Amino acid sequence: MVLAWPQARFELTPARVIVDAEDRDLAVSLLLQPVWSVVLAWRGSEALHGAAIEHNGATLGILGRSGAGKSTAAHRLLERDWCLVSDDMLVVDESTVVELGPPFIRLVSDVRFEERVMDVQKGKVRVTAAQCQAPTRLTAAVVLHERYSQSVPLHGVAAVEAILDQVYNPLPLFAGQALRRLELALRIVERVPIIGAPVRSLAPEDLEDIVQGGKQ
Amino acid sequence: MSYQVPPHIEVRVVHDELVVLDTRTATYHALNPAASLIWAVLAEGGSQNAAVDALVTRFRITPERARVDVESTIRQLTEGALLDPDAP
Repeated sequence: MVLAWPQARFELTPARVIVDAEDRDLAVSLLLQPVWSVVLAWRGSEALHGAAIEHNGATLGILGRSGAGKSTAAHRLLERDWCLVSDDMLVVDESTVVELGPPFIRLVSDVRFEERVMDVQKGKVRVTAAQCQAPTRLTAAVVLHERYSQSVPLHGVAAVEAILDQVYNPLPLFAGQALRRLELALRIVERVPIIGAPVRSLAPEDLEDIVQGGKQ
Repeated sequence: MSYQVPPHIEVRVVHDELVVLDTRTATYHALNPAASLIWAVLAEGGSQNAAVDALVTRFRITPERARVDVESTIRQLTEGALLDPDAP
């Protein structure tokens, strides 16, 4: 399979990715998200647009499209001694355990941070973050979307739809992938409380409350 | 008239609602409790009248209202290729 952008081209097999790009930063950005989501799909995993952070055994998933405020919300909790499970891409297994991602988070440049800046890619700053040591099971999830005017618990098909909205590469790449995504959404909804919330709306205390609710 | 579930359709139950997946187009359809009940009756070989009766019993509505709902839902399901009328 070949994935191509104006300045980068990736040739994919299940075991290897060949990169042909003029812009290294662009190549890294593409490789870590859309390209990697395809590799994961080949390997039986589905990626969601989301970040995950953990504290005292409780893991919160923050889902939403680019610009919804996922990483900013996660960063606020990282400043409260939470640890980073993953940013940008949320991958959960059949037991709703969240896989560890790279140990950095991408933030818009107007977010305050200290000297942990790594570099700037596509207008966002990569910042190192305290990474969790092991994968953890998802405790609760919040979906940030313009359709929500306030925070609301999501149930049933509304929750399933909210999760399905967050899959990477909505067009399936192979037969059976759409059903696999549906099974993933059902599994998450069955085991994890889902909250819908407006974009860029949640304070750290709100997020901590959501996790506390998920623990009960 | 009776109906059958096309082979390209996958259905999953979420409490009292259904998510219907058209695997040909990778399109997901969410059926509310009333539509889910209608689907369940028809998919199991029930008649349109049986679906009307089920709605009346479950939701305590008039038969007239139920018939309108059933006809409307069937139209949407068949037009969306989520249910196929059996060949006469």
